[in-house]
Amino acid sequence: MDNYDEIISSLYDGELDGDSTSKAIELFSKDQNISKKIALYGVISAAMQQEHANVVPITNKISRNKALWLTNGMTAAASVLLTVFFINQPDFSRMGVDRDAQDIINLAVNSPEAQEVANLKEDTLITHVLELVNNNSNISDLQPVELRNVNFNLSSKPKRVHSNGKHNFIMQVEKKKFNLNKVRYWKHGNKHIYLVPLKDGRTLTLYGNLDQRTVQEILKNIK
Amino acid sequence: MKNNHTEDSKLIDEAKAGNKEALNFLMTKYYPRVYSSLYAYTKSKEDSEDLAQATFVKAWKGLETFRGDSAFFTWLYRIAINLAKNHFQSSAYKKQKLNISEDERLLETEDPLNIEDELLQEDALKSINKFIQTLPESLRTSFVLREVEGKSYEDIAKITETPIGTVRSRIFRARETILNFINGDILNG
Repeated sequence: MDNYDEIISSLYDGELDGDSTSKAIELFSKDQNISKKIALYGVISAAMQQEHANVVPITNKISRNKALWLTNGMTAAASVLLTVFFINQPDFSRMGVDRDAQDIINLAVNSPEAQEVANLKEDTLITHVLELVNNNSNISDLQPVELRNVNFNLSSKPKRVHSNGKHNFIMQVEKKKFNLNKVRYWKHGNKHIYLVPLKDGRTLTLYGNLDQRTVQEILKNIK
Repeated sequence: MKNNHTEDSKLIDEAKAGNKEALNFLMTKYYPRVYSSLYAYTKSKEDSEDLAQATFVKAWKGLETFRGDSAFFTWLYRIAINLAKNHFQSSAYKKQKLNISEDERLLETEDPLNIEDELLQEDALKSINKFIQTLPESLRTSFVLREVEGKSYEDIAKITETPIGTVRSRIFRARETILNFINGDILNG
């Protein structure tokens, strides 16, 4: 291998033997052009990484019937486009975007390594949301809540889903503590996940095609 | 057979032995990836630069603790994200630059990371990606196997059923073609 630049490329890939590595590093230290080239190789690697970390809208990857219920945790979540919102309780109209959380979820679905970001920042919360959209087994643990006064009927088969014909959702009081002091919600396809802090410190999850007004009505009827 | 975890082992060994150029090489190689990962987290150019700098300083100080159980970038990434976490948790952190000691400034002054800022912007990275899709298939296949899959030249040679020298040459040619695009269309475009 005589090509000087090809040696640098191999050095970048760690594909030189010991002696050749030492010599190439020496060249690297003496020649600013080589240093610049290595930096640009690094840019290319970053670009490649970015490309393969793109978030893909759910409709591009998942069949229509399985558009919501994904199966494989964070790995499957790579196919999910999650948009995160932040809302100030109780005024839903003062909605703003929770950029940090959005970044975290985007990162979490971008690469296995980036799952660590979610673990570090809002570990329990983000994991809960992703589990919810990726694993419908949680639905079987629902606590039945009477909502007929707001025109929702509860079906038990196949899942405990509240429905008024237009809106369908599941609801559960979480055992985990999320330490929320305000309502937060995530958009997933045409559905939303709402996490509502209760007075006793627990958290209520609502998941379905619910708009904010409907959620407000439901919450008013939950003592 | 080489794997992803050992690709930098010689350089890391050299750096551990005090070879500063080996360390500089690793910094130069990984700065763009560390920076872009941090930018995805912070959405701030200044914070990403500071945190990337701090990441390498911390890596430099803790290099002895790197055992090679994971890829070097994964190790760097963990350091970077931990620093970014602190960044978010400390409001004071946001208001002041990282405190760099004298030794660390020495490292900074010898920083070879003279990459044009515009190259690390999202649009530029996307343009590079788009261009990579236009590479001849033989180059693109070897290059993607190397960069995305982390395959060794030996593995790529087996997969593509070509001599290892051809693999080496194709990856090099792919890089050169992309560099020509960067220099011609992005930096001078």
